[in-house]
Amino acid sequence: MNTKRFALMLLILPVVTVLCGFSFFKQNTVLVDTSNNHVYEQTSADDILSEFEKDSDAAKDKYKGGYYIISGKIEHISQKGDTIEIVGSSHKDDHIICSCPKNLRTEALAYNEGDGIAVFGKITVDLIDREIHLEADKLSSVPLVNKTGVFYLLDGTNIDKNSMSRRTLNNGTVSYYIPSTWKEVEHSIIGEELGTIEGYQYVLNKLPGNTDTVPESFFVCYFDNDSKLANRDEKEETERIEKAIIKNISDEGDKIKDVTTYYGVKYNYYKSIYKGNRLEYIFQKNGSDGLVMYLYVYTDEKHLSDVLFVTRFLEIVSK
Amino acid sequence: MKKKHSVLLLIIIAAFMLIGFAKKEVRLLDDNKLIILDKAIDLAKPGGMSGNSQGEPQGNIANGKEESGGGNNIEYGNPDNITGKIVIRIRGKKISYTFGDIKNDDISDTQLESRIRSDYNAGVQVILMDDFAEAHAYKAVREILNKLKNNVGLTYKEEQYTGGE
Repeated sequence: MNTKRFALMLLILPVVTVLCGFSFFKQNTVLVDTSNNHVYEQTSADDILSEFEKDSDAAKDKYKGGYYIISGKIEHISQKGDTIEIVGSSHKDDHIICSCPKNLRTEALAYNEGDGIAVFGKITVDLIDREIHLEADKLSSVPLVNKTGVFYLLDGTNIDKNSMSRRTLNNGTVSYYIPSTWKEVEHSIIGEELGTIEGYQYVLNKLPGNTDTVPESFFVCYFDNDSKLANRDEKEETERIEKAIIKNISDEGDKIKDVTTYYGVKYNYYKSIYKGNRLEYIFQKNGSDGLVMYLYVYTDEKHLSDVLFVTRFLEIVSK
Repeated sequence: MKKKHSVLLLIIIAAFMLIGFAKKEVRLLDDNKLIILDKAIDLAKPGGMSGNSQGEPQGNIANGKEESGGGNNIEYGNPDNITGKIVIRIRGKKISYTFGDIKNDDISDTQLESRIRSDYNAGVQVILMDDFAEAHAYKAVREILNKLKNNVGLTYKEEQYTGGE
C-alpha cells in the first residue's frame, strides 16, 4: 500500500517539472527557419564534375552535404523514374546520379533523355565508388541564368548574392548581406534613436513599390557582452542573456527550440506577441564575445523569403 | 518507512522547485531599451517618421529606379556637356573623394561638403559609389548631396562599386 502511494506521488513529478518552468508542449514551429528552408546554390553539372576531376577530395569537402541546383543534360532515366543521371555539356563521361523520392517519380518520367533539367537537392558522395549523388527535392525544366552566386529557395524565389549590399557589425567581425532595395528602408537603431543596441531595422512593408500598410520589420543586431552585461562573468550564460535581452525589449518571450543547421550554424529561437505583432527572436552565438540577434516583427510574413536569405548569408569571422 | 518515503518525495519536489526558480536573472548594464519596440513599430506604420534625412526625395527613388545587373542605380537629372566627374566612394565608414586627378582617400563629411561646393559646377557629374558602405555613413553622405541638390542644383548618380576588394 505504502509503495503504491509512493509510486503514485512520484508520477506527479512531471507536473511539478512543468510548474518549475520547463514546458515540453510548446508549438515548435518558427518562420525564419533556415534549417528546413534550404537555400540552394545554383551550379552546373559541368562545374561540379570538373572540380571532382581536378581534385576529388577537395571537391568532396566543398560539396558534400550542401544544397544545390544542378543544371545539366539528362543521360538516362530509370524505368521507375527513381533515378536520373545527368551530365554536363562538356563533361559527358562522368555523371551525377539524382535520386527521386516517390512524389517526384511521375514528373521524372515526363522527361526524355537529352532534355535539359535543373535538379534541386542535397549532394552526397558515395565512399566506395566515389559517385556523386543528389537527393532530389525538386525538378525544374526552367532554364536558369548562367551565373554564379545565384541562390534559390524551393518555392523558386531567388536572389543574386552579387547584387546584395554588404553590412558589417561588431567592428567588421560580423558581415551580412541585404537585397539592395533594403537600403531604402534601412534605419540605424542607435543613429536614429530607436534603441541602444548596435544594428539596423529594415522596414519591409515600406520597400519601394510596396503598398502594404501592415508593419513588417526585420532587425539585424549585435549584442556585445562586454559593453552590455552588468556582470561580465556571466558571458557564458547564453540562454539567460537571451532571456534578459527579450525581457528588455518585449518583456516576454518563450523559447521554442534550438537548432544546429546543415551549414553548421546554431540558432536559438524564441517567440512572443507584442501589441498584436508577432515577434520571432533568433540568436546566433559568437563565442563568449556576444550574440547576433535577428528580430522579425510581423503580422503577415510577406517578405519572409528575403529574410531567410539575409539570415542564411550572415558570416562571423573569428577574431 | 512511510515517513521516509514522504520525506524523500518532499526533498525531490523541493529540489525540482529550486532548479526552476533559483536561477538568477542575468542583468544588463542599464535599463535603457535595446530596441524601443513602440517607436520601431510606429516607424513601419503609414505616416510613421521616415527616419531619413530631411528632404530626401522618396518619391523620386520609387520612380527613378533602374536596375542594371548590380544594385540600384538612381539617377537624378540628366547633365549635358560633362566637363568633369566627382566620384565619392564609401567603403565601410571611409569616404574617398576623387575629382579629375585629385584624390583624397579619407575625408570627413564637413570636408566633403566644402570640397563639392568648390569643385562642382553645372557640367560636373557626381557619382556616389557604395563599396560595402556602413549604412549610417552612406546615409550621411546622401544627406549632404541632397542638401546640395536643393542649395546649388547639384545632381548625382548612385552606383554599386564593382571593382573588387
